[in-house]
Amino acid sequence: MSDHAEDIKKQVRLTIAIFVALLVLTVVTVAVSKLSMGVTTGIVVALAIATVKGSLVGGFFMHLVWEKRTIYAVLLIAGLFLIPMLGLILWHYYDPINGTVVAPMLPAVTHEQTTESH
Amino acid sequence: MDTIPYTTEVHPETGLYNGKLGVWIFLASEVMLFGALFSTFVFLRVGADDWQGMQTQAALNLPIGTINTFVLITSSITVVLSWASLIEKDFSKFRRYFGATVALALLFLIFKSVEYYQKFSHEAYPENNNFLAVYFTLTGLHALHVIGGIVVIGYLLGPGAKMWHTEPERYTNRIEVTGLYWHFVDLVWIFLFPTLYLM
Repeated sequence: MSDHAEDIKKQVRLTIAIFVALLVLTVVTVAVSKLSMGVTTGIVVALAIATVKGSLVGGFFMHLVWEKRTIYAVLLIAGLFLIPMLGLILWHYYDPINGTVVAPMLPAVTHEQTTESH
Repeated sequence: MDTIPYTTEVHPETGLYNGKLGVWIFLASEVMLFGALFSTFVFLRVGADDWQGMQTQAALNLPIGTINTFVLITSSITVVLSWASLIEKDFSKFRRYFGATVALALLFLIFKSVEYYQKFSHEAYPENNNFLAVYFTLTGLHALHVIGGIVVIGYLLGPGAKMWHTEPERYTNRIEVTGLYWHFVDLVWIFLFPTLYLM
């Protein structure tokens, strides 16, 4: 058997191993969501598992681990725009423009408070 | 008429054949498209007074969402196996795996349609609340990508398959870049699933 054919067989075995890992991680994601660990921790854990799964798909299924620099450059450019886009939204949330208040930063107004002010 | 250059041989400047570079540039633009929508989600999620209330009201079907995740992950591996079959010059095996990918993609859409039907029959529409608006926008756009994938895979299985007999290497490259797109569709779902169903 040629080296090339052997390489393909190795790659297929690796792909199947990653496939199993992705299935297991999906089960873990659902199982973890059933634990009562608080909203923030729950979000962080769910996104962490999703990031691991996404890295496996991108790295091995899409061959990013072995790709050429040109592709890394293309993705870097996308990332350089994407991350500030997400960041600017959160920046606005924690540092609103003078005179504006982002709704959830206000204390919740209760029915009693509303009636007291009248 | 000149033929398209670098469809099989590697471009000296990029180290890639042109189709692969083109698809990666397209996927980078897709990262921005879905990234913009995820940013919208983060903004609404952080700013909502009662996001979980809206989520509970939407009553998403977790078992269907989980099954659909398995379906898409499985379709990703059938794409890899179909490409590997072409490298091994086994066209009939390739057709089986690539056909299975289309079948799994259709299964995904059937499950998604069931979910949408459940929502509409309970009068849950995008206009009801921000969670449902985000849910329908993100899953709807994702479903459009699945349909796009089915069209391309269907073409490559049908009329496009003639190229295998005339330019096998170029055809194999087409399958590879279609696979890249399909894995991206899977990747987006990997993030959509916990974001919408579990958080």
